[in-house]
Amino acid sequence: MPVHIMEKKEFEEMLQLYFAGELSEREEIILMEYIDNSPDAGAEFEEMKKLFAALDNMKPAIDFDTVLSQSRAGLMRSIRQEKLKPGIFESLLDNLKHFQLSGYKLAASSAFTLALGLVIGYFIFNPSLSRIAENSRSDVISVDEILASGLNIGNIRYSDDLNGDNRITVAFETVKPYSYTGTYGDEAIQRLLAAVITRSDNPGLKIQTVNKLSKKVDENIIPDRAIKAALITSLKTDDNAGVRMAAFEALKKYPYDEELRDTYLYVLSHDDNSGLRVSAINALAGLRFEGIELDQKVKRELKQKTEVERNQFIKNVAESLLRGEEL
Amino acid sequence: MIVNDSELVKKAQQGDMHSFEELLHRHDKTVLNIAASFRYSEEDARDIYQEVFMRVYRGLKKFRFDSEFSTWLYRITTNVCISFHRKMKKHYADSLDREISYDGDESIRFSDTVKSDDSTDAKAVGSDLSSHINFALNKLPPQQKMAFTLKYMNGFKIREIAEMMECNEGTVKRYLFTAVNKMRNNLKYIIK
Repeated sequence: MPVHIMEKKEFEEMLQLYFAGELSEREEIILMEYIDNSPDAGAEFEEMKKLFAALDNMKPAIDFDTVLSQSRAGLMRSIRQEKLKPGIFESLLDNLKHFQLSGYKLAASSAFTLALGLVIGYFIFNPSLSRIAENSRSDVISVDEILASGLNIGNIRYSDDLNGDNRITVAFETVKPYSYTGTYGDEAIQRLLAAVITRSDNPGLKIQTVNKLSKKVDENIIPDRAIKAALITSLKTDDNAGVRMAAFEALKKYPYDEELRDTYLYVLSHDDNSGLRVSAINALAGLRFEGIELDQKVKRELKQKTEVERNQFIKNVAESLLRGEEL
Repeated sequence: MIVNDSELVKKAQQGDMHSFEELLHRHDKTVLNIAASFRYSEEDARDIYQEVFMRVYRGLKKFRFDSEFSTWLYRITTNVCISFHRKMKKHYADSLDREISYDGDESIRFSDTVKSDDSTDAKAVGSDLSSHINFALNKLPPQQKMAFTLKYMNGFKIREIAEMMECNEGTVKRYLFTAVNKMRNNLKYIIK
């Protein structure tokens, strides 16, 4: 068969498509025959081979699994914050604060005057903040309004059960110090505690809060929606494994339902901490002991665990559960 | 039964966060791979990941199934990578042929220093090869770099890259040919 004659440009294009893996079998044969019959083409081919061999070195040197789990946790935090996003006036105020700090004296004083005017206007015209300010004067606070305003809450302290009546006082600071006393069943208390679990940067405080709640669940005082949702969010997204573990232990005390099942499965398949994955599979194993049958969704996940899980214990438990053995 | 992407998207559009998370876990490794191969630093890759999925989260309700969800997602990823590249261009302006200034007001090209040093220890060059490749890669215009990394680091087909970059296959080929020629030229004294 005669060798296909190629222009230089056609050869170069085919050569690149060859290394890109985009040539058909027939085109590859034509190219190889041409290379075998042309010393210049052969030399060019060898050079390209060296280039692509070198390019194999350029894989990004990142710790993929760590970056992936950090990115997932960061994203879920951002989505949560997105839902609690502050109003446009607050963002404007924040920007003005930064502007004031970086300008020259004259610009700074002008900006300060402007910012002051805006702050005053903001307090006058923003119903939520003006209500908070108004309420704070009369020592009556609306926890919901403070939380919804997007203000940072800090310096949180607890004092609880001093009189053995299951009441807790949560002291905190936003624009001024506040304290709110109520029972664990009080919705405002639950929202405050949920905000601490999901918003605080202090892992110690988060663990302390979760443990307090966990203790109350033991006493059959089961905080409901807001707390449960906060514990689930914390378990799925908190960077600190200690906080995630505390949240997990607290959630285990809630009555089993589909939401908890999905949360256990999430931990089992996505948490990078093997201790938490072990806790998750143990929790599922414990359900059988309580006479709860594992549904198809759980079985599918267990089956996958038997195939891809690196931790031998988890793999063994998954296999046993699938075989229907008591553990 | 495995639920397909379209079903998950429909549920996520109605506010079901479990479905959103499922979509995330199906596709985020590819997104992170693209981001990591395009930027190399962990911090940048995390930032790109975050920006991509926040755009997806905000825009999901407007997704009209004109394409596969994955195509839409990877299109967002390439756009974010390219705009990230432009934003950070100054920071990453370092390239193989940047001029290095000395006190005597003379300047030489970095590649010349490599070229003139015939006694360079081959091992040393080898160990630093990936940083030379990164320099050369960062010198490419963003579209060429995007096509190049999608093809040679992520293994996408030219047809898929064209969909992601919203251009025709001929344009992708042109990006790739030019990018490979530039890489070859910039690395010719390093790869022997």
